[in-house]
Amino acid sequence: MPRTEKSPEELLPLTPAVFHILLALVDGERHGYAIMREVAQSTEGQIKMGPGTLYGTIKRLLAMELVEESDERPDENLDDERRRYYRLTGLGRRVVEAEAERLAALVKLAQGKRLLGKPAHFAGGFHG
Amino acid sequence: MADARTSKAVDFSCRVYRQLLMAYPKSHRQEYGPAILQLFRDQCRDAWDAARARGLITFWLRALADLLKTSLLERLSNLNRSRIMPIHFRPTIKPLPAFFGICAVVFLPIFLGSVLITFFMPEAYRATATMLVAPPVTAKPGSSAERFPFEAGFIFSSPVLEKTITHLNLCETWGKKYNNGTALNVRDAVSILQNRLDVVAVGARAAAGSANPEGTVVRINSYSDNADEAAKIANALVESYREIRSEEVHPSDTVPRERRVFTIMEATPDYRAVRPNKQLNIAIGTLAGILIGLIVAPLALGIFAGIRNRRSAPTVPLKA
Repeated sequence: MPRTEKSPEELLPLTPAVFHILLALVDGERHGYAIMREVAQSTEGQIKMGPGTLYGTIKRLLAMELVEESDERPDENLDDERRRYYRLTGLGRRVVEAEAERLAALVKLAQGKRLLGKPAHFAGGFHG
Repeated sequence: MADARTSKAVDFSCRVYRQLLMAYPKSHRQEYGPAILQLFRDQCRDAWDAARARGLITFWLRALADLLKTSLLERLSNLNRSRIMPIHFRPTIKPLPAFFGICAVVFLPIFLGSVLITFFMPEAYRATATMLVAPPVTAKPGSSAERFPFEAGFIFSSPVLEKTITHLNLCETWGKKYNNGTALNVRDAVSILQNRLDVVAVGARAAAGSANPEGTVVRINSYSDNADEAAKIANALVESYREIRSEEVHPSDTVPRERRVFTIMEATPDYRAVRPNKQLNIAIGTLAGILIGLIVAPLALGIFAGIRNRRSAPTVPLKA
């Protein structure tokens, strides 16, 4: 029986925890601790995920086929073999892209209402 | 030494957390338990490296809240999954064991949290020196007696505290402890010392065979994370105060210099910590755990009953 392809839009909006985990995996596969550190770093410490939240969310992402477990290790000598690595699936990438576009559209709307300033690169510019 | 302490604190935390993982459903625990524990260990180490015991306590509080929330979510999601099972395969929940089970799940993290906070909190020791302070009969203008109407105020004054700090070399000692090895300046040391002292005037003591008071009995309490240091500070403070009082009082004072400040009892180290109050903290943790458990358990059972009722309701409305 052919598998029906899920539409990314059906899964939106994402919760902040899901969005940040997917975002952390955009650059490549990572283990739980690396995901947690990436999220804390990219949000300047505003989002600190506990172990239960991180693996509870990963469990749901696996069930929704947005991420998958990877058997490969970046460097077996440098890493603990007990760590489990995760990476984005094709659907996961499309979902995080769709969510980013949805958020960008919201930001644009807020800018139109003069609730936000213009993005920094517009103000600064690249002068030759 | 620092590594051994780190390892001990982190290992102990992991052992406790491993037991707390029982709050998760068995299937979730089997699948993700080791990974959750590994992540907990990594975060624990980071917290310890960042701010030692304080960092670990803050992290533990966050981890307990996280555990409570996610274990309840996992258990509810397990119940929801059983919706796809035929009705006779659904787990039946016996109200009384379920009630006590939920109470235990809520109680344990709160109770263990209070125990952990109590045992990880830095301990404070108190040492007490008692002295008899003779009232200056005459005091020349600008003398200690005029500047400080109450002896307690004078004991807390910079000249006495600075003398104590110099005598015990506290700028160096505290610099090593609290300032990455760099000696503290005297002002900072005075400020620390002031926060670690309290002075209590216990009452007047009459001279033998006389109705006139011989002086005021003053008790100096000194607090420190080291019992020996607390005792040394209290004794040094009495000594510094005695020296300054004997220098500053007017020569016509009728009380001999050596009797103006008389030590009744020297401070000795008391190795029983006065803070944290372990019994009180654990009693509060126990009571809070029981109380919150008793509130959460009926709520959780109510939610479960609601889910089951919705499931057993027919999907097509019955005609009246």
